[in-house]
Amino acid sequence: MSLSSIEGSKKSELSLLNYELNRAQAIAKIGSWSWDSIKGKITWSKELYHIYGLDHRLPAPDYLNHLKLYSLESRKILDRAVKIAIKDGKPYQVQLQLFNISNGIKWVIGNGEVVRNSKGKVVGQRGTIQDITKQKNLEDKILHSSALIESLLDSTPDIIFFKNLNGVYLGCNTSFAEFIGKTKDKIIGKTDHDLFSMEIADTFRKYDKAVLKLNKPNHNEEWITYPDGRKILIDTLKTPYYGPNKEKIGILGISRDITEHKKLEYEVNNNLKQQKFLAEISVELNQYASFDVVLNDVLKKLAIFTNASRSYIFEDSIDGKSTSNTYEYCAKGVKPQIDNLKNIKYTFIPAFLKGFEEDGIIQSNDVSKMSKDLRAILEPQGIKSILLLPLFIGSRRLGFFGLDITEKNRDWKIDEIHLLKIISNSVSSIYARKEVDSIKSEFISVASHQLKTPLAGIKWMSNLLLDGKIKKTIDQQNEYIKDINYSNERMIKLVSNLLYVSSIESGYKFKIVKKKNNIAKIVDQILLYNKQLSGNKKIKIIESESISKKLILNIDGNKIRQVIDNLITNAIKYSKENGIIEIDCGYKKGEIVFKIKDNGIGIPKEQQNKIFEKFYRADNATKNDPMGTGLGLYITKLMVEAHGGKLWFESKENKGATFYFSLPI
Amino acid sequence: MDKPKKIIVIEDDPILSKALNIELAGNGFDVVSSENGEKGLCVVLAEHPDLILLDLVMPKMDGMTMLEKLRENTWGRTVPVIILTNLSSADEKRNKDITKLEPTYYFMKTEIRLEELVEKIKEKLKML
Repeated sequence: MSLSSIEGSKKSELSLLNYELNRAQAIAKIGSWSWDSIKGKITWSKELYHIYGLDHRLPAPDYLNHLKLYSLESRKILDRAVKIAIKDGKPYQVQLQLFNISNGIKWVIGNGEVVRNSKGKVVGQRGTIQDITKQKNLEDKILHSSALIESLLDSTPDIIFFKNLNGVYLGCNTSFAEFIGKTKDKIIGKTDHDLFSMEIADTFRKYDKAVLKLNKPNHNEEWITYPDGRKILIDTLKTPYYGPNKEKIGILGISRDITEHKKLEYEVNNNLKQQKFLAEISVELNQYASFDVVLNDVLKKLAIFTNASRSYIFEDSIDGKSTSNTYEYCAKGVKPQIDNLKNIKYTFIPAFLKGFEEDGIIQSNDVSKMSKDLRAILEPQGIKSILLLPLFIGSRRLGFFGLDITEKNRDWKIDEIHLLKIISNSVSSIYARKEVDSIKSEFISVASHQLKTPLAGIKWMSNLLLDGKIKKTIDQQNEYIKDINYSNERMIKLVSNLLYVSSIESGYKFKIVKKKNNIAKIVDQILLYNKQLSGNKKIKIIESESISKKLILNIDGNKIRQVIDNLITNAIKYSKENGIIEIDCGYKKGEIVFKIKDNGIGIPKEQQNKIFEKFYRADNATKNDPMGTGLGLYITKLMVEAHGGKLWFESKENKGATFYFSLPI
Repeated sequence: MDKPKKIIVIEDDPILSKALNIELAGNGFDVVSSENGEKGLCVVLAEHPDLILLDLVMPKMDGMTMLEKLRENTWGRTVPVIILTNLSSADEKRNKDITKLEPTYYFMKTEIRLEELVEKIKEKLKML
């Protein structure tokens, strides 16, 4: 083999080596360079040209020119690294960014080191440049997407966490961190036993294991408390999660605060239940059963619906000074109290009246914290929580309506109170209906009795007149006829009163026909008619001079006769024996005022505001005259008012009453 | 001639009381009147009449109360009492209460003529 052929083969060997090196560099995207500082020669591999996007047939640029291929920031980084390497003699590695119009942006890793000769003197540098643009882009993408996932997890109000199979937290979102009250880094790596109480942690762990064993997602609802004491209801979905090879890695949990949702759901459900209940009660109240049956049924339904131990009604006495338990329902095992709670004087329980007046309601979840007077009556009954509402007809209190809880303390919910208000109104209204019914039936019985008395008078007096067996003088016969006439007048008065009321009920208004009338004449006639009645009681009637003077007024004579007659008859009826009645009149500011005064039984104070009501009769009036209709004053007032006048009175029980009426002149 | 039978009329309406008085006196009875239950009870217990005519609706003391008290008295337990009223007999509770007090009759004033009443009294007192 010739020298030249050896050289040639060596050459071809070298070029093969060079070729393979180039290929390897191209595959690895690594270019290399060297700088001989003695010869001042820079050598670049072919791949390096390729990475920089330069033509490899050109000479390699010097250090400063080559720096221009980098971004400004990277130039500084590289220059600093090179200088340090020269100074310290240590190799460097930096990540750099390339800018090239034809190549765009590239990321490279630059490695470099100082080259020394055998004596240790620096004779140059060498290094590699690796194109990592692809990896770098991928890495960026991964970073970007994990940041996206993290922000996503953090942006949801739901609590998200993941643990490994041993229950160690691998990650969580900020909601979870907030729930725990610690930062994420203090949570990751910990277990439930580090973060929660033993009891809660055990429950969580047990639940986790169950989910892992079942190998499918599972829901769970539970109440939890925040570190700040806030209580919420959470719904947690736990599910096993898997690695790329479908291997179970751990458990993933998503918890959602469903407190508001549950509350709403509860409210909607409750509303529906309440509506259904109210509908039932309203059917109950309107059915044609007896009052007692209806009330007992309503109390029972209410106690069952509200889960109360007792439900009951108290009715006040007529004077409103005391109250009695009249209806009661007790749940199973609760001791009835109805027989122990009769005629309780309000003076013993002032807080009741005060409570009803101030708030219109008395409620307590803890009776032991109520005022002394209330505790004294409620605690012996074993009541722990109580709710009371007054019952009213108009402004008149009938009594109250209540619920007791005996087994434990209980808060009254707003919707419960609202419900009870509605029912107490309904109960009040059936009381009102009962009163109207009893007034009506009482009226019918009184009216028929009233009508029959003068009818019997006419019948019996005519019997006497016609009875041939009983002898009578002409005077006696005349007397009987007068009695018949009187009874007849009484009937006419009564019938016209009844007709007045019935026509007023159907909207009729009095027609006033005014004529000149002599008042003294009217009064004398009335006194004559009532002579027998007043005579029996030995009542003295004093007419003032102003009456007996010939007083002529422009009035509807029939109506004013009825007014004066009603007032005088009342005065006689409610006078005691040997009583005195004064009748007087006088002018005052363009009016004439009449006064009828007696010293009889008077009107009880608490009933004074009711005596002009239709059919109403004061207690002592009923006792004194059992068969009045309760229409006289009602009609009298309407007649005076139809004249443009007024009717009023002053009275004290057992001292008498003075009625006044005025007529405009 | 026999001593006249004594009847006490307890009635608050003056005209009705008067009519009963005249009719009974005209039929030879000895009649005493009283205008309410309270007075009537005193008179009855003092006079021990042969029969009592009793109204129900009266002031001070009504007829029912008076009759209850009368029946508590040894003498009063058996004396014949005729109730004369205008209260309708539709009230079942009242009817029961009245029955317990054993009146001889219960008459509606508007439904009975005076002659009829006298006849019933005479029948009861075995005067016919």
